[in-house]
Amino acid sequence: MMPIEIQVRDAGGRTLARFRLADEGEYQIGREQAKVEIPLVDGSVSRRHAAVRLSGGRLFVTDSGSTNGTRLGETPLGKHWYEWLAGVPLVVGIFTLVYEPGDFAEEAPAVETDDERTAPVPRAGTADPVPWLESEFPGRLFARDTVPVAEIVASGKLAGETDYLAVGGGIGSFVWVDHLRIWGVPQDRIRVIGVTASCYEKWKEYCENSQIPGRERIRSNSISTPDNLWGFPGYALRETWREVKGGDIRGFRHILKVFGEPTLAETYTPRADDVYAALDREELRIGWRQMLTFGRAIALRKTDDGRYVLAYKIPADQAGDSDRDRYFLARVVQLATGYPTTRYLDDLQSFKRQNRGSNRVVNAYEEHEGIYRALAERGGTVVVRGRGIVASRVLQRLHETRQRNKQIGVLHLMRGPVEAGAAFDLARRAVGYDVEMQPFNWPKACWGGEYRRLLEAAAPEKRVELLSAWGGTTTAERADWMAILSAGKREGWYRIYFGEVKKMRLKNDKVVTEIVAKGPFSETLDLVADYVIDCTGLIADVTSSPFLKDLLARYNPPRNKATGSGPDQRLAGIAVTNQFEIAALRNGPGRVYAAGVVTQNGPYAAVDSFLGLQYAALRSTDHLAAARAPGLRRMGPLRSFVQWLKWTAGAKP
Amino acid sequence: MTPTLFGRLQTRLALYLLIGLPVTLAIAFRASGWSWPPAAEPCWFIATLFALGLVLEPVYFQMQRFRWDQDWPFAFFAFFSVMEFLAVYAAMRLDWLPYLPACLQSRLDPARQVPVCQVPSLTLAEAAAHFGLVFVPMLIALLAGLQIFMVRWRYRGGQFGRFPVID
Repeated sequence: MMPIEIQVRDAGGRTLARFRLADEGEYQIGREQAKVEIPLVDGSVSRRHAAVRLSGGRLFVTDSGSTNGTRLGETPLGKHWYEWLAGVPLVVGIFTLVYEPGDFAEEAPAVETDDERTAPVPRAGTADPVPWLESEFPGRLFARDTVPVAEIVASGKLAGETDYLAVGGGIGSFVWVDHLRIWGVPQDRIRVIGVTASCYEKWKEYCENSQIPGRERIRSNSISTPDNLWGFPGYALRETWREVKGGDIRGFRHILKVFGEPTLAETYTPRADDVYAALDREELRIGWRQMLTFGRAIALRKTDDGRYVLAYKIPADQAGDSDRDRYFLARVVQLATGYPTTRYLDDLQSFKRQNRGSNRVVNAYEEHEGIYRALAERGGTVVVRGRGIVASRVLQRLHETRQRNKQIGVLHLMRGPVEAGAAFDLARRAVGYDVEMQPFNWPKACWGGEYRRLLEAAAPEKRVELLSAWGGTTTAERADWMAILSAGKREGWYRIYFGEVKKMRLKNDKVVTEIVAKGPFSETLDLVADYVIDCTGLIADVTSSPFLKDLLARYNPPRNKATGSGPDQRLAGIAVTNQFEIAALRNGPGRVYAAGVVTQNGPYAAVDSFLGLQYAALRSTDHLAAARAPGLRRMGPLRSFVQWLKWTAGAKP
Repeated sequence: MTPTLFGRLQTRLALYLLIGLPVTLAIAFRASGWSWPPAAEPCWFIATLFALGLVLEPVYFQMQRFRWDQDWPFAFFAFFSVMEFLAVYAAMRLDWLPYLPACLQSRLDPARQVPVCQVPSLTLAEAAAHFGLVFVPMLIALLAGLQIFMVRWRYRGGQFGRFPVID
């Protein structure tokens, strides 16, 4: 193994000294020249300040109880061992210690495609149950329910330990970490394993693909604020404030909407760009980047000391191929891994299998800008399948594209007409344009009202009943979208078909969709089009994530019941308690929580919404606080108010 | 808002205790020239308004069940609050409230031989100002104030306190 050279620099960046670490083992950093391997002589350095450990060709660092503390990048170090990656400055008193990647690896790792960031392309029929555990990382070490910590340490791949570990790195992880921070947990006791720098990158990708660019509004409420756990100020008030401050008196319309919605006014929804900006601000405030480690979760196991160990791979640009495997130890783990893949309906899957490489049929959540470009240039016919919110967005986009080329026709394919909306209790859902209308994807009372209470109190069988009654495909009642459909019908470029798809095939470079029409005759029809855009939504199948599949195979936690069929299908999520804990994974004091779509059809309906993620974070954080988990205070009115003031001022929690 | 019935009652009680009571006491003491005892009329007025609200909350909750989203827009809260105020004021003027007579002092109209109110217990302007001073802060508290202190309130349909923690 190559020796590592550590450079000591002063505040001006001048190199003062170099230390070569040639042998594996521990090296002390301190002021006492005779007793430490890396002496740094200055009053700001403690006698024994910190220690560096060279293990398995990688560097780890810990603070030895110094007076002034040690920082790795922005992270103040505690008593745990932290991995010290190349290029990250280690600050000891007035000195900054660094080493370069070239000082380390045998050869620079080649740039390769980053398999963590592949787009959510459907993978029909995923791999067999965890065969890779036998040969690949983490291998035999993980071929049991409980892993001894000693063996993890001996592997030389342990990157660090922490109290709280968030696996996923998306908005679900972010909101949980935000709660922990505001409940009092310091930054250095939290770690996030994720694949993107910003928590909203994946979500932004979904938004953009499904025709919600940054300037457009998303289907979410003013007070569903993942950047602010109080929901105040909501997005409407912030938008009003900004516009009125800029001299635009019409800005008041946003809060007036909130006042009158949904009966007297259209429901307010925030602009996607505003949500991104708000999340950027909160990421900075709570130190998200300092808590984040790039990595793709491979597998999770209980350890023999009442904790958990996560096996993960760091990205290819951070280490050589054989050196990307890492472990992280944690007391409390939260899983918020999001939609494992987008899944096609069965007939779309067979089309994709038979016509590999064809870009004529896409899922709306996939990147499909090319279709709009081609339509703008050459015109053509498009079949839009489904009636949800994404379908209305795609129709809006096609309408925009039509402004550039009038030779575009839209065939809107739905399973059947909607004669009457769903009914529950004394209420019935409104219907218009053959679509059930609802501001959000669940009745509002699911988030914090009577329906939330009912669902939580219900037994699993009853839950399925309730979810089926409240769920289903809906879209928001919006004047702009309805005006487009009316105009389309009148002008003849938009036509609705009702039927079940039998099969799709490619013929003379056109996509032929065979449908059996809805109605007394059940006649067969062929819809011939240039493109098919499937807007039937994301179907979350937890077993299509290798990580979750391994977890399910290993510990066999109970699953929720599946509901619905076709586009309304909701597959079985992992069963969680009302506090969002996966009870089957309890390990002494150690706990595993989950949030997001992983928990679908459980005690809460709107798990994959902003407010739903906030709710899951609140319940699990409260649960941890009640158990006196490390670092957590109890959140009463006074603490809440003080923390809110800090949020307002942009001060660290 | 998507309040539950219990949440409605608790929130109303809290708003009247936190906002209605202090505002009313200030008005009542002002009316008595800042001396003990405070004027009784504003106190009876707000107490009646509160009592009517408690009776109406179950009715509102039943109305909410006819709404698919089971929600209660802020506009509804505002509209029904004004209605409650008008109802209490009208009841007082009709002398339906024995403890809050419409008139404190009357004189006999010598021409027509009917009593004419000389000192009304609350004029419309007084009552409306009182109501406004209570209602506007309440609306602000609902829109903004409460959740800053009570992080769980909005998820519990307006109920206070923590979620039950089951291990």
